[in-house]
Amino acid sequence: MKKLLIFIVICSFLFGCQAGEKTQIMNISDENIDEIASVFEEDRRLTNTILIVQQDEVFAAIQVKTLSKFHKRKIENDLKEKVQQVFEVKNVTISADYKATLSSREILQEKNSEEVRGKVEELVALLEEKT
Amino acid sequence: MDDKKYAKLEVIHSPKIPVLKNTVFAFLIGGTICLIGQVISYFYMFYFDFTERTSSNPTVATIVFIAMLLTGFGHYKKIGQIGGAGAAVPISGFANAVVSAAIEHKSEGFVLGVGGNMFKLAGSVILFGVVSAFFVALIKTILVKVGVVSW
Repeated sequence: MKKLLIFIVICSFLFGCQAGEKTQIMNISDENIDEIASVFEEDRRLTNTILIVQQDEVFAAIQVKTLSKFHKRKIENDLKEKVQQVFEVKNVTISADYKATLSSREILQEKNSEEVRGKVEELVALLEEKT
Repeated sequence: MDDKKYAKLEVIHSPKIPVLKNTVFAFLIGGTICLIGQVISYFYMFYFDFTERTSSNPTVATIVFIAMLLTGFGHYKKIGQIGGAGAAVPISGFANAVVSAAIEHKSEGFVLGVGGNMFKLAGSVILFGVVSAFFVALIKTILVKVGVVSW
């Protein structure tokens, strides 16, 4: 029992320390999106970003550092403004909600661009729900 | 014996309250309840269409349900004895207060017993919760209007 407990504790620490890629990108537009990606990569408040760029829509699921969690809304708005400055598109959605990250990971596995569009639309609608 | 002398004697002979031990246990038990809440919240996000914002409602309902069962089966009082404030402050403590009062007064009937006494303990929590929520919302509305913070 004691060994099992120690094993669980060690596993939890190791899983907590796993280093993933900071920015994961899915680009199904014809544009070069290096500038958008650099907006997220240079932001020190972020720990993880999943960026999905379509022809007329940009969606980003972000994870912020623990103490920045108090300013999630402000960070989302800041990044939205920066993205709109470098990429002229109206539909920009930035979300720091964990559900956005979870669903975006599934979308990254998707091959069909129409499926991606549908799933992103569904996710954006879900994130806009108030209750 | 005058009052001051009596008060001194009382301090000398009363058993000392283990403040540090109580604090550590409250931290551990309260933290564990919150950890369980966090796990339930992630469960709703993983398996259902709930976001971080919306998953709080079913999470609270689930914690209340679990606390209700634990109170009914007589386990929550043991948790309360060890955890103290750590078991009383989270929403599970509120559920415990409601359910234990309902169980206690069941013998007096459903209307005057359960209905009349159910919120005997939890009533003050609701009252002061609503009043403080009103003042917090009022202060935040003023700060947003002034431009100090955003929603």
